[in-house]
Amino acid sequence: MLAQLMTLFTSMELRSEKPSAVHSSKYVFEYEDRWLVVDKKEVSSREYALLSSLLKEVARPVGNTMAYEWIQFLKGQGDVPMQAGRDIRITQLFFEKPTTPLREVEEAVHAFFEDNIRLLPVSSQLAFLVEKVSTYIQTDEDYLSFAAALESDFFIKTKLFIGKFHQADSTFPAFFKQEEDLFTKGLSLLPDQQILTVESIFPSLLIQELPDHLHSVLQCQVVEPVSHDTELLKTVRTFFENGFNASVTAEKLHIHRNTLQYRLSKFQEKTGITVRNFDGALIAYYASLLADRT
Amino acid sequence: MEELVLDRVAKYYGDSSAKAVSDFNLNVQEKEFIVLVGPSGCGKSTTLRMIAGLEEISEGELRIGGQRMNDVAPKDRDIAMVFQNYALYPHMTVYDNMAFGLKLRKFSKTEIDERVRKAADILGLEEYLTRKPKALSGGQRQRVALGRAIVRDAKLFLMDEPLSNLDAKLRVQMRAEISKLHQRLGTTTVYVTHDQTEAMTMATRLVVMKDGLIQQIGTPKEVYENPANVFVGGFIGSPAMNFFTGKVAAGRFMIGNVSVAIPDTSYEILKKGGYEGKEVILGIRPEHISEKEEVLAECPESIMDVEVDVAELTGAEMMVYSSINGQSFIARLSADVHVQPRQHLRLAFDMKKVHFFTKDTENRITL
Repeated sequence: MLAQLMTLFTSMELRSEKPSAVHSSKYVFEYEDRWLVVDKKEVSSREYALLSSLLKEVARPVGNTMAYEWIQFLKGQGDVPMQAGRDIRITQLFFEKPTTPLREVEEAVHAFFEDNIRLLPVSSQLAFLVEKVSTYIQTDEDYLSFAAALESDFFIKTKLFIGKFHQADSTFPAFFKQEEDLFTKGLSLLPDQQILTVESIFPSLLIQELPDHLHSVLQCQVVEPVSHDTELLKTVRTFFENGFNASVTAEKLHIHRNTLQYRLSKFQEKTGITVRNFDGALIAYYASLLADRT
Repeated sequence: MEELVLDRVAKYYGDSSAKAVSDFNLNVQEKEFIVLVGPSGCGKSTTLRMIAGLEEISEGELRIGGQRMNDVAPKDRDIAMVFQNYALYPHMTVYDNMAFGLKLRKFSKTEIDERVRKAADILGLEEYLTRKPKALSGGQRQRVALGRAIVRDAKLFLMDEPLSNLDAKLRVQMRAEISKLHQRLGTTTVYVTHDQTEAMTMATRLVVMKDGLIQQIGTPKEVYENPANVFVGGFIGSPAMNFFTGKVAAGRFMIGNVSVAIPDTSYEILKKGGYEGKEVILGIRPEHISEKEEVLAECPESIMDVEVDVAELTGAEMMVYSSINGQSFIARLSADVHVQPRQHLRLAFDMKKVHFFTKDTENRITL
């Protein structure tokens, strides 16, 4: 029967997952633990009556049309649901535990961002926040504050991947797919970080993907010479993460500036790497990431 | 009654060999104000988030009001949280910000109104209820954040660096307000900060942490006067405790060719502990190094002639930076002392107030 239906209705698709959002222009029917989606315009009222008597129709959730259109667009299966050409970014919002319904979270999103950002529920553990470029761009700090508000009111732990602005056109889905993949990797690579970005994930990803021979270069040249002094790599890393600012680094590590200077000199003495120049900083930073993993 | 118990609690992500928090044991009594303090990355926020249920507990048990909480959903733990970044909704009024959490819990409008107005009264926010957060100062915003916690009437307040976003002056003001609030409400509170002054001034008890491990638990006075190890001595107190590495020899502590006499009772203990002829670390607070004639007369065996590197007048005190055989220290002297860099000064250590720490473990030797 399925093959015949598919031949009869050219727009008909068979999905193995239940559609999370359904456009008002489609009918959805259950079919042996799968779902058939078909364009309404292709189905006459007589055919609809017939299909409904043979198959169980899935009721379309109210108010999700826009979400459906956005998700289709992000999948590369639909047009831009807004004026094309404007820059947008997607922040992926991951809930550590299944969270339903998202209606109240939607209210929180509106109270936090007003109309600048739209929430697209994807599943019970994932939602997207679509942000159009405007005079005010939300900062990482804003998103962190938003995550804290969710924790405080809903007691749900979230992780966010803040995407980059990109023109909302036919190239966007591929761009977004890359960010989706990065977020998936970031969740396992940096489990204790709440806000993730391309730049925060990339170094750890690079270390993970490093071929064995480069892995051993870092190990032999940087990690091993300081392996007996665990403070050294931590110190140089904190130094880089704080923009080579000795005062801030010393404060973060709760050590005197002289102790910091001493440790940086000791690192240089043991590895021959000058951490104050860019090349030195780069290799030492990657070595510290490698040491963390091993 | 014990309100909160953390029993051998640990947290690790993935591999259990890299623990963010290890073997955390703490019993908190009702109405206590516990401060978790330590440098960034020491595990204090992770511990707080485990109490809140926002981080899963990898090992051990958490009990609130005698009930095991490990598997209880965060929303059912009867807690309220306050964060560093206020966690306010910019497009809601102060009233709605405070009411939002109650609305989610399906409280009646009358109950919500009553609670919000009561919290606003406590926090002095009545006249700001119709404003939005951006029309408020940093201190007022943090008060709204506190209000959001107060309206819940929770058993436990959890505060994660709530004053870190405020400037120094406001921070001092707000920490006094939080202390007053705690006295008034009596809600058991666990407060996280990296600021030792905040910790000292607010806590009924401190939990000093480093690298995921508790270093010491005690009242601010206990921790300040008897630090468990070099880390605690250096972390609690501003300026930090001074440390000198030297040798115990014939009743004296030798810093190279300079020495000070160790009080007899302390020396006996050090000798019995097998430290004679060995290197130990001497710790002394800046205020226990003095230029005063009466102290010099009292401690003739611990007088040193030092050269001043830097002298800073802070108003009520003069901070003198100097060194003894390459080991730098700070002395907190009276503001009446007029010294210049490179000037020589006679200073005495109050040896009754010094601590000795082992060189290997850096733990305090009980004298």
